[in-house]
Amino acid sequence: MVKLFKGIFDSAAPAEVLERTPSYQDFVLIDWYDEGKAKAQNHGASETGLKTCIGKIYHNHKEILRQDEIEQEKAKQPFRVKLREYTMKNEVYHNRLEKIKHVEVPKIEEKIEALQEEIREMKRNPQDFIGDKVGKAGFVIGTIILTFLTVYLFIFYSSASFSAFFKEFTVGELGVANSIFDAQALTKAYRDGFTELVLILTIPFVFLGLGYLIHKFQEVKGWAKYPRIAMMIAVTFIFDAILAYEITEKIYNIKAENSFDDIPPYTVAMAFQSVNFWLIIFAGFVVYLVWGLVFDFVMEAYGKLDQLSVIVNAKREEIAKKEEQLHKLEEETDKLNNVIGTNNTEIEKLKTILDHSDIIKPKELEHSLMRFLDGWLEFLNFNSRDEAARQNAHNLVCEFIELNVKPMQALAQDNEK
Amino acid sequence: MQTTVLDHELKTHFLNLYFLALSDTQIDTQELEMLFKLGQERGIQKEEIEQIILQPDSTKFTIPQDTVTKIEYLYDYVTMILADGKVDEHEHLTLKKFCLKFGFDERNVPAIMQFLIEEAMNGTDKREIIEQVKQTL
Repeated sequence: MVKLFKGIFDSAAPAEVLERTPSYQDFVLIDWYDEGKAKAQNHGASETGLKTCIGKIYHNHKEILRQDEIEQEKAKQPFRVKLREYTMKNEVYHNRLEKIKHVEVPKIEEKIEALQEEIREMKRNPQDFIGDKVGKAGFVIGTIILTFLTVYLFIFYSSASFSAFFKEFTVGELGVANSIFDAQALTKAYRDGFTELVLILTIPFVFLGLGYLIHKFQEVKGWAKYPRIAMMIAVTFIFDAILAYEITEKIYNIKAENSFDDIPPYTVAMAFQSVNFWLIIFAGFVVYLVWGLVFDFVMEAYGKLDQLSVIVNAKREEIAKKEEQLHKLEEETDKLNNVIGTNNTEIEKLKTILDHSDIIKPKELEHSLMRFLDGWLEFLNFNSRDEAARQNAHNLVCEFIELNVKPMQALAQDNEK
Repeated sequence: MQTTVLDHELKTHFLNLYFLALSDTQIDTQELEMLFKLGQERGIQKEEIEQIILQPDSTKFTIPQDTVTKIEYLYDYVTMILADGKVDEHEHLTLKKFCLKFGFDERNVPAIMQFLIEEAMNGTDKREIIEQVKQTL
């Protein structure tokens, strides 16, 4: 019967415990291949034995490193370097974020605001930008007048052409208005045949085309345009004059046929003295000239409005580009914040490992475990164990390494390259 | 050996001691395997012991600092190894190593071991052991 006494449970000096722990060098010098073979024999190559052995190697490696301050410090070194690397990277990213936030974004926003102000200013004072005053009202009024003039010319020329080419005059229709204008010109032409209708409908476009050509000739620089314009006006006048002559001749002939007097044949000189002739010329050709002038004015006003709109659009495109740049900076900011967050997590992990864990040397430990496995497998081979047992042993060690060694290796990997 | 149902505290104590043995450079793998088998025979799940081996970082255990807790651990361990009524050579050796690991003076370890084994054989209640230990502190 043991008699307990005072001090029996007192602790021994800590030095005694430390003396029993082998050094890291002793651990490194172990031939793990031979150890694997010997342990496989000792444990009868059992699965439990292998698990126990690899657990033991892991713990011994850790314990020995923990006891060896120099080796522990060496083992911590890659993690410290990695920690510094993450910290420095985050510092760079933070600086970049600051630059984006306080320099680049305000600069772009300022530029966008300036461009928007320019657009507002352009709308307020367009003459400052295109060197001339643009009257939107003038353009609108000109367009309205031009539309009505076009309708007028269309009706006038279609009607006059019908009268000149196809109409059979009667004595009752010899008034000036009746002779030029026929309210039923289109209906009658349609009745006479489709091609007649088409001709009547398209003839006004000959005059509109001539007017348009005059406008295009005016756009050409230099003196060469004037003879061309004069020629176009002359052609139009002649065409108009022929129409007027044809109509007035028809009227004259009807009158001659129904007269009891001897009336001489109709001549050009007679046409020039006829009121109807000049009425047709003025109602057609002069309006045509007016149409040309209004058309010129409208096109010029449109050109200026278009010029302004081109400049405004260019500014808007520039704004869109700047906004795209802002968007890219926002994306970069999000990405940087993301990376900083991930790095902070890694930094915390590394700090926790450095401050609260015993570090292992992942590569050395993996090497020891794999050599041990080789020895273990050699024993299995020698003792003719089946392939399943070897595969099982291999998987067991690999899974252990994957679970306990690789994560540490991954944390410090970049520095060991 | 008989299989017994361990109470939660006893089981925890055993698993902690197993972890301690695993990290002790003085305890051999064969002793560890013996402890593995002992634990299994006394009702500890194989997976619970394997977790300590295969996921070593999932378990944390530090040697208790106060003597009463140390004795509680050792007494529970002795209770376990005595479930078959005897203490074999390996069990005796591991008990000695645990005593040393707990920091007891090597000269006193044989007496402590003998005390624990005798009291466990007599079936003395743990609370009574603790009272006796407290009187010596």
